Amino acid sequence: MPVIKDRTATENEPSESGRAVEEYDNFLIAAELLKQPRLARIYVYICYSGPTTIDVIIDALELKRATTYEDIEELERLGAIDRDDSTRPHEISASPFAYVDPDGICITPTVLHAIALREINDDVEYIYTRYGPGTVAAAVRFAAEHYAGRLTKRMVASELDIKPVEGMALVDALERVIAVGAKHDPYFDLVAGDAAGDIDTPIDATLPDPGSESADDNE
Amino acid sequence: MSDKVELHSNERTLVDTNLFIAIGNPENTKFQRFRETVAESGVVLSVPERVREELSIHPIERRLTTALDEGWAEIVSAPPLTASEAVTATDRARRMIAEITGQDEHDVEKADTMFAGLAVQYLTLGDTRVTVLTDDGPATTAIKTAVRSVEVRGDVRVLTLAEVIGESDDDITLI
Repeated sequence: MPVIKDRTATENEPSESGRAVEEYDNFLIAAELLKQPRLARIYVYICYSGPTTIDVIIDALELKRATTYEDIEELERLGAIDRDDSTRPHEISASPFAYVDPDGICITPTVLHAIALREINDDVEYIYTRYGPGTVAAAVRFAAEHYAGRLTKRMVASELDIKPVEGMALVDALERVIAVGAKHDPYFDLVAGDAAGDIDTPIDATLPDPGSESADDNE
Repeated sequence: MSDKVELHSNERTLVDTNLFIAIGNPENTKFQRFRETVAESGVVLSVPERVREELSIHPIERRLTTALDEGWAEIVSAPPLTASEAVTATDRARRMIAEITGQDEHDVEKADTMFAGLAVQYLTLGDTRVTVLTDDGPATTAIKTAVRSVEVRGDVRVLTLAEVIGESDDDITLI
């Protein structure tokens, strides 16, 4: 049975019907975000950097103003984020959650981050288009094992049943996802397993300061 | 930016596929920094046929064809591993990767171990120094250990992209 984990709540809290509905809703939100990388990218930023404001999000992610307002409304409609309209400007927040099933399929902010990378990274876009979001999502765990020194990049490609160069490109692209997830995702261990504590990457996972210029690698 | 390790024009410099993946497309900052570094050293990178085969996927192949067209890389036919030291180095690299990753030795990709044997084979054929450029942590560890474990005249260096162009995280968008 799928499990939704929310570490702000007590882990062993007895299941109630109301909570079951909430968990199911959370699963639907996660599934929707997997299909919509643009929304996932904003959600992940809010998760990791929130509470925040729309202007900060636009600056930090270098987004178009009009579409961002629409995307925020869509995320709100889905129930993925909360907006506090008692503040000026409105404060936007989101709670990270994890969906885990007994077969090891796992959706956490780190996995959504990988999917969201399609928006800014050509290699992830290529894999997402050619093999589907499942391959990108599954790659997160293997990429974590690579950055923990437990798999070569060719082994990751083999595990994903994709070509060696495709696996190498995907592992390289996901390095930032692993670095940021290890620092900011409260459920990172659910994705990375035993590798979570051994991640070694030179990437500085400090999130960008919205007030400073950010550069894109435009891969 | 950290200190860079210099390449030398008189040193055979072998390049693994993952290095061409790590530098990105020719428009990418890392590609340009790598190209500049190689050009400044005057070395022509040796690209084994197997690496060319792995890279021959559109649009990734453009990274290698650009290097070939500009003259800072060339395709080489890898010599057969006839020297016992080269065979030993390959076997030890495979064993090391299996040990590090917890995989069965038979599941270790041959391409990951190839450079250990190739570097040693080149030494036995007369090269005095060989450099291997790779960008895979576990493979790097295994190749270094394997080539150091065999007794052969000459030196082998194993360098990562960050060691060649210097580490920098100024051109990456985190989210």
